[in-house]
Amino acid sequence: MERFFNMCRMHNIDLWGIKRENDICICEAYASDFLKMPPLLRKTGTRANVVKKRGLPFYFPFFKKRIIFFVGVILCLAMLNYATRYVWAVEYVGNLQISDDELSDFLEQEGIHYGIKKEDINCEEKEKKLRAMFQNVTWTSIYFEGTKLYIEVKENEKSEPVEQIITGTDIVADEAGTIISIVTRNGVPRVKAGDIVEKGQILVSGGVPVYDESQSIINYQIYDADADIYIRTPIEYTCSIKSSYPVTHYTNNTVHTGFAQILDHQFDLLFLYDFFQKEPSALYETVTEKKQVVLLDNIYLPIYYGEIDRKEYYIQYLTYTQEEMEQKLLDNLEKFIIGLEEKGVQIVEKNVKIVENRNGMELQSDLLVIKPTGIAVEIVTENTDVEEIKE
Amino acid sequence: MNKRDVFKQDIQSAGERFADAFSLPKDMVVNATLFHMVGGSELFVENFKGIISYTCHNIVIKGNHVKYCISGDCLLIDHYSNEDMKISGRIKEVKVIREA
Repeated sequence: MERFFNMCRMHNIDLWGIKRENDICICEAYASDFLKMPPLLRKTGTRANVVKKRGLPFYFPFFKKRIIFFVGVILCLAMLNYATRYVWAVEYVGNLQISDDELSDFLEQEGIHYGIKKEDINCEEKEKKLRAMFQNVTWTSIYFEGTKLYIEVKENEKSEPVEQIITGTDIVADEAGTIISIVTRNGVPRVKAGDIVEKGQILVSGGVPVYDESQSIINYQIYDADADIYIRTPIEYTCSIKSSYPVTHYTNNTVHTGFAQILDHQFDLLFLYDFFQKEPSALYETVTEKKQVVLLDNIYLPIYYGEIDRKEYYIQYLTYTQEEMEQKLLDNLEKFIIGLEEKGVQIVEKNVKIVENRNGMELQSDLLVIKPTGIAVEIVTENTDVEEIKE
Repeated sequence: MNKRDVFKQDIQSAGERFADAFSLPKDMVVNATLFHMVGGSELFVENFKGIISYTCHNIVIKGNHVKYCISGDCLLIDHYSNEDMKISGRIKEVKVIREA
């Protein structure tokens, strides 16, 4: 055996891991060198058996038997590589004043949406645009982690006092009526309590005249008119109700199933339920719970899974009685009045008329209310009604 | 010892003297076997002619006109090539056996 080792050495056949076990020796050699060994084995009268084969070439038969598995693995890796070139999730970080919806609208404007190629997004350019669009954003960063797009912003936390730019405004009546009270803080009042005004009439003027010693107007100082004005004005309220109304009844036919979704294609078993359904045109209320597949926390894939809860229902039309309809209409009127009162409107007079018609019933109400009035309107001409003010 | 062996020994000692005089590596000049031992567990051998015998407790290596006997336990030839060999195991003794 030693002679065999020496001959291997002379023929440049490398051996390693030579280990003696009783009468036999176990050693390792290259497969190509093993093919050179038979003459040496013959000469030295040694026998060699292959105990174990190691190395990639010996795995080819193993690969051959499991070709579909390996093709699947390669396809999976290729698909993963393809899918990770797109954006499949967006997260907003650090926005407190700006809502997620506003940032979503911004991304939509910029053409960034789910499924867009990462290379199509110029992050630096979008950062600049984001800063330009939202003035209170002091710093922004747009970056990817896996297939997720992160929009990170820092907002200006110190709210700077808003500079009030005086443009010069009048207060005009936004409805016709009688002025009940007027308290002017800024500007010149044009009406007094008890005056009847029309819609659009100036109540307080923002142009304050400046008089000289002879009491003649030499100039106007422009202000934003400010006043608390209350007006008595009529309000009409009508409300109608149909005699028949729908009521939803759930049947016991509920379906709870899972689903998978790849891109926009959804796979579920609902079609099987539909196939065995007696009434194909039944109505359903469907609640879907959807989760996205995420690899390694950051690689969001366009694959979703979840559960679908489907409840069958039917609509039954019932009819109100006359008393019920009247009660409903009066309830609605009550809610309307409560809403007005919450806005600081006082109800002075109330005339209610309930009329029955072909479809159901209608409530017509004339209310006389005292409410705050006046809307600010920019001063159009500078020297309006000079003479009037002079008087 | 016959005249031929004496002559060989003289030549060898002359070679050693020559290597000393010119600061040449002795293993190259007199074709001596080179041993490099790491602790008591590894032994690298270069410039040898072959293995004479190999068991778990003894490895006899043929050098130039001498034999070397490495004794120990669990001796294993980690690597064996035309250039060198590496022996590992619990080496107890490396003995030079001079040919008579």
